[in-house]
Amino acid sequence: MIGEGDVIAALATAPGLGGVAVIRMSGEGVYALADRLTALRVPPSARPAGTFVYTRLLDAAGATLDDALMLFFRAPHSYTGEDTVELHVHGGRVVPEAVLERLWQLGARPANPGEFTQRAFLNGRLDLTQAEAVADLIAARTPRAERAARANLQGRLGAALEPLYEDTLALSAEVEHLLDFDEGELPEDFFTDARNRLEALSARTAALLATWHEGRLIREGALVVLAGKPNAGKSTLLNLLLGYDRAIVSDEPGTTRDALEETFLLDGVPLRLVDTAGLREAPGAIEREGVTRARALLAQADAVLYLIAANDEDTPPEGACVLRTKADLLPNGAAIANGDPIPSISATTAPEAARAVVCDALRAALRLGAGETAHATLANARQFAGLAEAEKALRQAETEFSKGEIGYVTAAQRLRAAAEALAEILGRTWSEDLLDRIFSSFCVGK
Amino acid sequence: MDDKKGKDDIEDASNGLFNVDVLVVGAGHAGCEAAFASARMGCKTILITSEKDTLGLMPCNPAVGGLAKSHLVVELDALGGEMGFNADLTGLQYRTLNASRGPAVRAVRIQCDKAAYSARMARVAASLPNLSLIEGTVVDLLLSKEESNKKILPEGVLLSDGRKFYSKRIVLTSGTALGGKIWIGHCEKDGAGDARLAVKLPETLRQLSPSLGWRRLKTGTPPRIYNASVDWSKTVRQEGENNPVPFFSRRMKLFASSADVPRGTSKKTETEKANNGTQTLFGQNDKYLSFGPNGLCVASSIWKVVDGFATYRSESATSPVVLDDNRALSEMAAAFERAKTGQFACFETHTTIESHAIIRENLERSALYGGKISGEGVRYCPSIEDKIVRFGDRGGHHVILEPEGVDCPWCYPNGLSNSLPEEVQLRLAKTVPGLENAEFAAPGYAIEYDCIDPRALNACLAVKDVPTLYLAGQINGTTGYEEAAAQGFLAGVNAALSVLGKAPLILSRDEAYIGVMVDDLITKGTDEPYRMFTSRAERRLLLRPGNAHLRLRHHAERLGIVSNELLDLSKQEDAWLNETELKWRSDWLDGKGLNRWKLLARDGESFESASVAKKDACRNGANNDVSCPCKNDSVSACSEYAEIPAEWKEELTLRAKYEGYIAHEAAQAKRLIHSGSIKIPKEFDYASIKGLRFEACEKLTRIRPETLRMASEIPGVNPADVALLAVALKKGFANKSK
Repeated sequence: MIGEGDVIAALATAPGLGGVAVIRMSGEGVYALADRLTALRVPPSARPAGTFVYTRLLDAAGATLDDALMLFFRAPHSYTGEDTVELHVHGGRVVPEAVLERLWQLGARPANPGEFTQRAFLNGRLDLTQAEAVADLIAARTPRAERAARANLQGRLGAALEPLYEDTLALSAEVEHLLDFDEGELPEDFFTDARNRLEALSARTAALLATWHEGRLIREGALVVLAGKPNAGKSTLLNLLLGYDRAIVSDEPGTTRDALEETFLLDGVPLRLVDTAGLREAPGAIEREGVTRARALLAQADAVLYLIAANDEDTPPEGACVLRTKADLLPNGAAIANGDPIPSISATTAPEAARAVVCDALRAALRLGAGETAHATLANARQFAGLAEAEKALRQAETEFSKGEIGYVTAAQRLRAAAEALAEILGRTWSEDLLDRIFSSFCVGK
Repeated sequence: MDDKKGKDDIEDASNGLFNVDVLVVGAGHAGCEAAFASARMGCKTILITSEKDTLGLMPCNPAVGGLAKSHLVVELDALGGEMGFNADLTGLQYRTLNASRGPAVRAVRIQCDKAAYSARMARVAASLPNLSLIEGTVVDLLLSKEESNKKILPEGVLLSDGRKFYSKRIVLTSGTALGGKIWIGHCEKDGAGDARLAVKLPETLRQLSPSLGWRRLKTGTPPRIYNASVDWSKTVRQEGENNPVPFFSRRMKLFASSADVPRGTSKKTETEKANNGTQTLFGQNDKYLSFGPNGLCVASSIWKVVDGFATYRSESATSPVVLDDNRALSEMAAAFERAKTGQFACFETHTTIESHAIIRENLERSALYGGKISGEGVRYCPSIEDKIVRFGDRGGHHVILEPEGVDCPWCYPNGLSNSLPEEVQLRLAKTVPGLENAEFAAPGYAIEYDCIDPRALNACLAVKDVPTLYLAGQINGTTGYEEAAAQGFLAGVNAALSVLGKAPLILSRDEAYIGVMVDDLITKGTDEPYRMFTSRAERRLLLRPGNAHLRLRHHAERLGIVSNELLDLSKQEDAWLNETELKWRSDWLDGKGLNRWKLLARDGESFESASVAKKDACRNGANNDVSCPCKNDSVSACSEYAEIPAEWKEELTLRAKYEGYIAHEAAQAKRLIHSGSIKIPKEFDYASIKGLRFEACEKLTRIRPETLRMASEIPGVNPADVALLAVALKKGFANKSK
């Protein structure tokens, strides 16, 4: 049963320069393999879990490969749920590669992307939402994304979905039960009760669905486009937000002709901030192309900051977040007196205040809470699609129930569909392509 | 089938000289269906029963059908089973259940005259040329000689009188007879009444297949109460349905729409009843009996108490009556006459606080709660002790007094099933309104019996490691006449098909409730007596009783035991439905995409109004379909649908209405089917899968699922285990293909 091919190994730290590199090995037979890697008097297989030893790693000829720390984990108390040994070797490119070479000689095989996590899932160490969180954690670009992924890894999303699933299943079971036994003997307020419970369930589902937006922003960031007529102050605003002069600013309309992109962290959410050519019937071919690109970007944007100079009039596109710039050109407090609902800023006279106003506007436009996420967030499209399906099914069940007895069977069917959709998010039902889909997006070593 | 032997030859087989094709042990609901199907398919068949006039006995409630069970009966009828027609012809009261919830879950329940039911079964048996009924008690299986490299298989059976019968296939439907123990309070009785089997058979079965996984289950029945001791005035009369259309059998439905059946109105019946004043207990006996030879053969039924059991026999079995078309027609006419004007009533009463007090005081004395019975009982058909313990008082539990037969002197108090001592049972009964002076014909009892773990069976209901032995009915852990009949039919058909060298009949979960049941049994097994429920079916909106003959038509055609006339009609209906659907999907009413199909799918839009809408559109010239006859000014052509049978119209409406739901069900099921198509090799070594949890490995090794999906449905095998198994299987395939 114990075949040497069972053991997988991979570099768990980023390749390249670094003081220490971590190599992880997991699978049945990993201790037999580790025994042959050292000349320790007490071999790894005889050492208790949760200990480590400083030792020399030997090659086939018995020569020293590296001095390393060896850490011991025993099934099921390891990341994968299997016997696991970690090697902390010297970093860089040469040493880890030599050690891995030796491991392949000893019968380990390179781990596939995500294979450690896949094993952890298969051994019941993680639920699916946690497994996905591992991928998110690795891919996290910002500390906030990392924290959100870590929260999901700790089961926060699972903890939110689980009761939703359990309650849906419970209602479904009750409905099925009554369908089979009690025609004409339903509890008096059964239909009202069922509808109330369905309403509550779909509301909870909707609330969780709403976190998709936030989860996606944290993971993938948002595209924010600065737009407006030429000379509305777009480039000035970009420079203000970035804190350095990225874009060339001049009084000459049409200075920015191409789209200019920079990353800006707002509350830990990475924003792709794009400065665009001013929207006008441009005189030159290059600027005309710039305007075309600007319009294309407007269509893709998660949020549009549309700027109108205080001394100008313009009609912003629908849904855009409008700011009145160059407030210093106006007499003091004029905008407020006029009851203008558009916030005014002046990047030159009050840069800090302007920055705060812009950030607030962005938060509002992106529906981003100012603080850290305290709740679970949906992390990917798979979860979102499943939950959206569940929500739809719950609402349909509610509608069917409102028809009374004749809608009973169809309501029951929708309720089942909702439970199935939730079960799939949690990985409670098995589907062949599901695992492949999830684990193929992993990098090696986790 | 190598010998062309006649019926007489088979009977000569009693000396063991001949080998028949299929041998069925036990003539209950499973056994009868198995033997009838096999014989009808042209296989020489022997049906062995302890008494010739006890075919298709109903030892418990006197009814066929009910929620979900009704679906099984209709499917059985569509495939060529006997139960539905037999119940239709011997019914005393007809009721539709779940009517308000629409046709997908609508069900029929027919109270039957138990003796008449049995008598007709016996007549059918006598009329089948390939079937031989043998009276005797099977005590053991005869096994093939031990040869090297050859598996030992059963070749026949040994009877208690020493006779031996040899057969190519054996269908065992032993009911509760194996290890049957009857409990009345703490008093134990042996066997299932008089149908007990000696002990060697189970021993031999254990020897043949160690993986059968024997365990104990229990079921029970209420006492029987003499009609004369009941004060009927204290009960509420429950009439049968006025105009019961949905019979089980299509033959009956067709007859209803074609024959000129005398149609008495219910009002008239009421007056009649009032005028006669002779209406005694459940119905009008005198009128009933006057049906004579065309109606129920009830005059000869014998109801008697034997050894404390309320039993019955029907002597008509000894004088076989030819079952020709004329006879069938007159029987159908009689059944319809009864359904229209002469249905029997049931009588409703309830338990009281006093009843519950008696049960609670004596709980320790009940077999069930006194620790005498270890077997798991039917959770869904609880004894009255169960109901009180689990559900409390609830202001009293229903008790329905039901007739067991036209001239049966006792009734069946549905709801009083228990295993208390007789003296306590009687005191208990007397606390029920109407039963104050009750006298028992027989006390209620619990019965505990041996059954196998059905996961040892394959989808044909043959034992996996004894492929010539089929098991059906209670021995597989099910409860209910209908569940038994459906399994018996499937086992009998597959035994016959395998003798004939043809592909087996395997029904899938998405084509029949029978398929759902068998699949549940052989993949999930059951910890308690298994009963059919609509909730067990994923494709509930597709598996409607109204379309059973359509969805199972291709199977019925292959088996060839449903009459051609019926099959042709199904074919016509199918063609009409498909044609009409196609037409209605594409005809435009208003030029804006509305068509009659959509109209039909809308709530409250009937078939007729959809047709009318089309006609109006034609008149108004809004219809651009030049091929429509209406274009030629013959509006009457649009009334073509007036001639269409109501059932066809309903089916069309349901197809339109449930379309979206059915599509979703199909999408969900597709995943199942896909993993269902991934086969697991028979000798697969589960222990070789790394990381497979011990529990899962142990279960998979024991149950040996045939497909990946079956594996995924085994309790204790979680999705992660299945994923591992999937990977291992893929690897295996990859290696092979290299």
